[in-house]
Amino acid sequence: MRRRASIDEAGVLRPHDHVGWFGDGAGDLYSVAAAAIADGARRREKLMFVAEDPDPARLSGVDGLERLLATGQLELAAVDAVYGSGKAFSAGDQLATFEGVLGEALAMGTAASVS
Amino acid sequence: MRGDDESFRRWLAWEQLTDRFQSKSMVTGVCFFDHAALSGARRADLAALHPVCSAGISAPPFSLFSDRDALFVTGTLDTFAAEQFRRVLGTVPVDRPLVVDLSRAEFVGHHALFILAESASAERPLLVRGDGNLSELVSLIGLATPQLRFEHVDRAVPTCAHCGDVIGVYQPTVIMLDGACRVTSRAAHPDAVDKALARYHHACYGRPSRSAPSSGMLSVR
Repeated sequence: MRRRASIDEAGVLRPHDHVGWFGDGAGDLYSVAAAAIADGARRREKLMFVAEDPDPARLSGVDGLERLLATGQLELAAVDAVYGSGKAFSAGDQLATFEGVLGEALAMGTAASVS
Repeated sequence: MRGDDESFRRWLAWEQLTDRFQSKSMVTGVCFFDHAALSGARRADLAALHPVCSAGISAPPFSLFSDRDALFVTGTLDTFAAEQFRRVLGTVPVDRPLVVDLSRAEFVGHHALFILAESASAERPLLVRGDGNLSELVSLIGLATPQLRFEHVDRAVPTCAHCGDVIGVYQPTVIMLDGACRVTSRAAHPDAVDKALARYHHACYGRPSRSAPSSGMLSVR
């Protein structure tokens, strides 16, 4: 059975978790993302961060950020590039994108985290 | 998230597709929502479709998420939750037969069953799983049709290891799990309570008894 839970930090995630995080603005977004990325990096997961105009400088608290980016373990992607914009949104295309990322992750011998 | 209602409905459908994907693969997903940009109803709908939510938000009355071959409902499907249940159920992707498992729901009222019945069709029949009480309710209101089938599944009700009485949904509960004790409730962490090695009413914990431990680390969350 998947877990159903309420969490107060993003560094305690488990495979199969689908988290809805309700926060305030970009500051909270990057804080949550940095914690989730750092946690996933420790577990050697493939990581993908999708945000409006993602700014790696705001993830600087993540240990080994440059290495994660350079090796492709962490990918940053713009919302429009992944989700499309407005009515162009296609759930099927979306799923294909994430399945592709999962395929890469498995090829690397890891699981995947998407923020 | 600021789009019109139709865009939001498509987003809710997407959340369910990705939830199904994550339930079947070793993927962890975090969806961040700007609290201030969402109406209360939209926050509630999004929260209902995420089995894990950040602390501090108003807990939705129910959760709907994928696990194995079914959509599981936890929480309460009472009169007050009926409109939201109808709204959320209306966004379930239509790409496969629908199986809704109510065996872990705390309460299911007849409104919810009528809403489920409305969502069943010849094109997409619905299989509902639930316990004996639900089976009786379905029979009483005559809901079973070729499009809506019911399957009985047993559900173990957690009881206190000290007094043997049932532990209520909202009662403070001490559980022993993963080598530690903590205080929670069935409403807050139903899975943890189910999986715990032992469970006690908070008032029973630590009392001299046949089975309750006399000491232990206790963290309150």
